[in-house]
Amino acid sequence: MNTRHLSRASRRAILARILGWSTPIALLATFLFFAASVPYFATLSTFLELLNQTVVLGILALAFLFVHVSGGFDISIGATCSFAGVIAALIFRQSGGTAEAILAGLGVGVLIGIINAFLCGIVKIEPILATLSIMFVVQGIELMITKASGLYPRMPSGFLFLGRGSVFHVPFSVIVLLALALLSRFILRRTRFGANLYATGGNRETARACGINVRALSMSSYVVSGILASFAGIMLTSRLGSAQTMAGEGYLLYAIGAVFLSTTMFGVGQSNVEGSILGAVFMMTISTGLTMANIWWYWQYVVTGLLLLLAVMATSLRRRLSAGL
Amino acid sequence: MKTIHKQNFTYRALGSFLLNYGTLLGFVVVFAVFGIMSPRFATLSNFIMGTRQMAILFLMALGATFALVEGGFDLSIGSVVGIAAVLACGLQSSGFGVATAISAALGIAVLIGLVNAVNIVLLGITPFIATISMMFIIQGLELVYSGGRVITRGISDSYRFLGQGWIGPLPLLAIIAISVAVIAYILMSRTKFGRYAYAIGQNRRAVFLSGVSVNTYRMLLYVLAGLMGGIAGVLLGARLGSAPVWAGQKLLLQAYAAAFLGSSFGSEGEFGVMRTLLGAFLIAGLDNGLSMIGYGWYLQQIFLGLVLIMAISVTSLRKT
Repeated sequence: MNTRHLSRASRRAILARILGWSTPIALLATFLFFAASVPYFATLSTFLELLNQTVVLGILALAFLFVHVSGGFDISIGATCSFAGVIAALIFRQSGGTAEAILAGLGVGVLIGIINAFLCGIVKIEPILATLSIMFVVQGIELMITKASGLYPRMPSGFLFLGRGSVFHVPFSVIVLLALALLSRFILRRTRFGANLYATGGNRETARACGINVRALSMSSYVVSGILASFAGIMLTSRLGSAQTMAGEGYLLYAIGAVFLSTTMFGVGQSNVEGSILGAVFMMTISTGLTMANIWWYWQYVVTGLLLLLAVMATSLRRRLSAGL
Repeated sequence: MKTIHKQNFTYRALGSFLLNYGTLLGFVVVFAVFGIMSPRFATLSNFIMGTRQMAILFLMALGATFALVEGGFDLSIGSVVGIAAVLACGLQSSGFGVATAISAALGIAVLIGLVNAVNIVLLGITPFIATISMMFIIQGLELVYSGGRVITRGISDSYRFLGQGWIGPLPLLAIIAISVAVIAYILMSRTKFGRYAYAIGQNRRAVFLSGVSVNTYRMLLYVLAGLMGGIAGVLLGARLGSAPVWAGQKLLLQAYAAAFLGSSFGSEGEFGVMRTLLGAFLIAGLDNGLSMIGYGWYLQQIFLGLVLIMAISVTSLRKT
């Protein structure tokens, strides 16, 4: 009898372990699948293009990660991303320089982040609702400014280098992403701030009992996500060379998916930076592969939704299995 | 002493009155402004015409309300409306009868609600993620089915009558909406089901511990939400005589604004059928008024977002 109980526990442990690595496995499998069935997929140029696209998504995933880790939810990052790009384009239209445009874009991100922080921390609205409403408001303002078309000001080459330049054949944007990822990883893993964020997300009351200023912490996480989201918007605008309305919205769901997927990476079980980046790569791989295979973009909606669902199911299942031990 | 007490009492009463009904007052003011700026706004015929849009919005908002009552969310109703409309119109276009088309559309809606229910209640996925992924999936399927084209041929007249017909002085849509409102109100306020539903929203654990099958009720609520989306979609297709692809998504924001606006009235901050009806009326009025005075959709979006924030803030502030 005792042995049977043990083996059920160990069966669960094994399943939990496998689920913990499910995403890298899935990523590898997907990559191989596309490489085998879609022509030109496994080429260097495709790979570089994939990386380029992943940059914006990766930064957005980092933005979501910070808030998610501390137990919050910021769904306005897509809107902030587009809006920052629009603001930067506006600066260029008034013949402003690269520095001003970047500052303005980041400033907008900080502003939106502060508003989100205020709504969630002081007015104490549910984060989902607060950031959802802010998303609508920001979208509305953006639409009013751009009248639903794109902005195409002349952009200085310094600015364009951000998204389009290369250093020794490595796209500069990828370097930026790596730098941000390393910075985020450092903050989350090796600073007290990061540890407190995880603690707040894990169990808010316990964190508060430990003396962590839970409210200030979660409020600051929204400001961080605002900055990162606007950074993503700047990178996107630089790469496109123009500001497209609602450009960031499409990445929103992928970013959320990437962060959820990160819990099933490397067996960690917690959302983390490496996992999120890899998750972003995964999402982009699917998107690129489907596009190259000439699958109707409509199907991408379906696949994205399914992926997100599966990612969350895997997380949920894994958590239940581990808890049952 | 007495004077001070009287002052405190007045301030508190005023404050609570403002909190409960301030948003309503705000809207009255806004509508008055609309009436001044555009004389056509404050006419009876405009009002009656407006009830048609309000009816569809109300049905969607009611679906949102069901999910909100149990403490969750259903962001997929926008796409449910879309696919119901597309399916109802598309099947008729392909030669099927009206009854078949409508049944199929409602069936799909209920099915989606069921999938949401299973995901959220049985699998324990956060409502937000569960319904937003469904939203994507359904939107994609709708696009695949319709090919992105608007379906306009082969719609039967009896179907159109649903959305465009009149019974006496009132549009059929308004009558349908009011009937659904009454039924839903009775369901939520006068039956065991309704009472349990609200209780589950307030304190799920307590209800569970008293032996009630919490999962069943929660799942039913999500199925009902899907069903409402389906009805709204069918009627939307009937009203427009065709199925525009993105129709449901735009209404999603309005539907939630209506539901939350409704919850900000009264003293409890709860969601309710009649409150949602009032909310839908106000939001539809806002929509109508803004277009009458020539403001674009973008401004309306900002307005709605602000209304949402305001309504939720009021409710949150009241709870603290």
